[in-house]
Amino acid sequence: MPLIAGIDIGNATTEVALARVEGRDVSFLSSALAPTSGIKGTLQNVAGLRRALGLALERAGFARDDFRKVDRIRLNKAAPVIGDVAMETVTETIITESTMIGHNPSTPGGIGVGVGVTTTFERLKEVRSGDAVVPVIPASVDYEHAAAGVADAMNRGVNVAAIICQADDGVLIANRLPRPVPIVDEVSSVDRVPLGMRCCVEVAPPGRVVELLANPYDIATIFDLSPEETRQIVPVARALVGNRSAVVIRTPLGEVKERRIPAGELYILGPSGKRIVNVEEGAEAIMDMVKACQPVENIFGQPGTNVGGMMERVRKTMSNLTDIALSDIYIRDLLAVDTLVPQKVVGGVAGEFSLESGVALAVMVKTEELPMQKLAKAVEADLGVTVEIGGVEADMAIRGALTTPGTKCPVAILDLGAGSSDASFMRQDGTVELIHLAGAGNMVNTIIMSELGIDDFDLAESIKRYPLCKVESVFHIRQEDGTVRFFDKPLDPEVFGRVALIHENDMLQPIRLNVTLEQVRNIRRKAKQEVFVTNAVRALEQVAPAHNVRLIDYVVLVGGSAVDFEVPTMITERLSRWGVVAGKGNIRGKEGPRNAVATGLVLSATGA
Amino acid sequence: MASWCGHIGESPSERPAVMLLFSPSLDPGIAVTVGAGSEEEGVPLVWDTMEGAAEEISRQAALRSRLEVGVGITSDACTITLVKHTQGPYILRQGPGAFGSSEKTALKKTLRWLGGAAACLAKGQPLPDERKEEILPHSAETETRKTTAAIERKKPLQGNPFPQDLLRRNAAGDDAGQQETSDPSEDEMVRRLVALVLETLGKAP
Repeated sequence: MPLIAGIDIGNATTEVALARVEGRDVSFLSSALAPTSGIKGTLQNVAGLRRALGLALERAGFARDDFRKVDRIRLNKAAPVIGDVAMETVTETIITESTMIGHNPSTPGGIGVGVGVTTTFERLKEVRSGDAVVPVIPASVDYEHAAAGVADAMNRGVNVAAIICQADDGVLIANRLPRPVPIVDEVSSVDRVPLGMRCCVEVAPPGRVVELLANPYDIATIFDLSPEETRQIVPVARALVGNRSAVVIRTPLGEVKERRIPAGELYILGPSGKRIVNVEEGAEAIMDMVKACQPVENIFGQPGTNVGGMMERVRKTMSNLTDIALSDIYIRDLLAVDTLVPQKVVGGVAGEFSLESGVALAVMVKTEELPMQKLAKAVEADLGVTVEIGGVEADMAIRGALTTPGTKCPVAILDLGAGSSDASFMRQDGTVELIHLAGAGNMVNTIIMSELGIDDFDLAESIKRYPLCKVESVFHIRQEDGTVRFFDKPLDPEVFGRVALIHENDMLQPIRLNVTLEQVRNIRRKAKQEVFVTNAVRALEQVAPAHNVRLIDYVVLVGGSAVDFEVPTMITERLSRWGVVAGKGNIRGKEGPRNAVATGLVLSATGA
Repeated sequence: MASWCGHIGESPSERPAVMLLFSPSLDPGIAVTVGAGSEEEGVPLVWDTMEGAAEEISRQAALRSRLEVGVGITSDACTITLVKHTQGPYILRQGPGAFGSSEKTALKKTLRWLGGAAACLAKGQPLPDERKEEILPHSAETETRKTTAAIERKKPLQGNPFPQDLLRRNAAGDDAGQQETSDPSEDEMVRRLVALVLETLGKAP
């Protein structure tokens, strides 16, 4: 019996199904997956394909490099779509003179509010009694020495209102003073604090956040600001919200403002002509416009703006990789999601961050055709095995998905991948409706990265994939749902007290960020809801008979992102409102939602 | 201060505290440094001296501590032990870079970290970062300040805070991405930055 390998090259993974086929009899031997090398449909894919096929051969009992055992390889005719994501920041806070320090040292000293004039520690000796001052203490001054100097000044009658210090000594100094004053410590660039200026320091009690300095009117009261100046100080107050300690210093030329970055306009070409939407208007306005322009023919960004640059980069990269003329590359869909981007405050003193609003954009590029034939020839030359291009990807996905027990035609398939979300609907007569939408797993990662302020793609991927826990003692963790689990072996000191991810085999990966479990969980779930649930509904509305999702009976979720531990239930919950049976596929009754296209490719070889 | 860090006899016995035991041959000044670490975290520390290996004396210390966290220091190792954790010390620092370090500031840093770590274990919080960013010396910081500030101020004009992520995702394969991962506008960015630095220097008095 000839040995046939069905191989599906996706945006993120290459999947293989290996089977013996004789007439209409198919017996599956093994399946495997490996990361796709390069952009799908390009010659770079050969490396990933070799790895995946090797794994499948090994699992079927052959040698890993015994490719010649395979009689025929069937490749998917990959849909010529590639998705990508980027982030646009819409606002930013600019402080042209240093006027604020708002950061969260883990242990500030003292409690309360103090107002005085900033002065160096060395000059504290010269301050006259009765003057209100805020000494600025560099790390070179030992805490004992600092506390003695300040205590001495206090005893002379100087009103030391508060302290700003560079080292992590806030509590140590506070414990050594005759009377408590608020102390903000760990201010790294202490030499950038303007001296001789009126300054207000606030430290909230443990478990509370600053109230005075987060209120523009209180800042106006302290610094005697005019209504116009109060308006200018609003971004500072906003940036300090949620901190346990904060400093605001007034400099004569200090100008603080919130600037709206001209993110640019999007031009969407649809059947009704060109429509324009400004990225600044946010995700909702953009998505309304995309919906109004269905089916989208092409999308451009305003030349000379961020969004214009992004659209052109996507086109150019696609053109280079596929050898297709720039003019033949169309952006056919776009998904926008509102996010918060922690951005460094321009001109801040202690590396302050402010949560600025932004828009995450995923686009989907459609070319005339991917050069699959070229790839097939390259694989044939490399492995010495006959390669043929199977049918259209969507047909193969449906064929594979229908091997899930409990399904029947008519059926809709939602293929949730890394780069794009695809939907197909097969009617009773076997005709197929198909749609590719922008935004999938990679966009969820981008949103997680932006909202948590991390630039580690792998960490974001792990946060997306694994449930969270809090390590509460050397022997136990508390999971997301509140259940407690004990471990036989002591947990590593590195994870102690931290929020961590539970990988396979109970491996714990600590998240080294100052965040609570609830924050991470909310960000993760919100990102998945806004990308996958939105796209599921959007996609089904477009392929459903009469664009009515209620008319679909069965929806099978397949693809890498359908393996996720919560995405399928989110979609099932949303679709159950319309009485649709939706759930994660189980290809061949054992593969789960993976391997649908590869299985379909093998099955189609039987001619059935 | 006696209330935060004191000899076992000076402190009220019922007060919850982390316990530190160290070899009698060591300078009692180390207790103050370790104590500063735990005091900054808001946890009191009591100390005493005892003969024995670091592991042994830290276990004794843990048993004596009302917070069940003990620190042991000898001339060649520092350990932290928890009562509930019976398989040896929970944290161990040995050799150069631990107590044996000849460098005075490094030694002080390790000791203070040890106090902070013991306090955090008692509080159930993540351990303090041992490799905390070194604070730049005053002068160097001031020199670089103006230029970086100017560059930082202009940076957002480049717009996209994640320019690098575009298309790198899909090109993550081992032999992929060499063709177009470099941003076409990178040259332009460098040119603008150089112009900016020159401009800043030119305007300096």
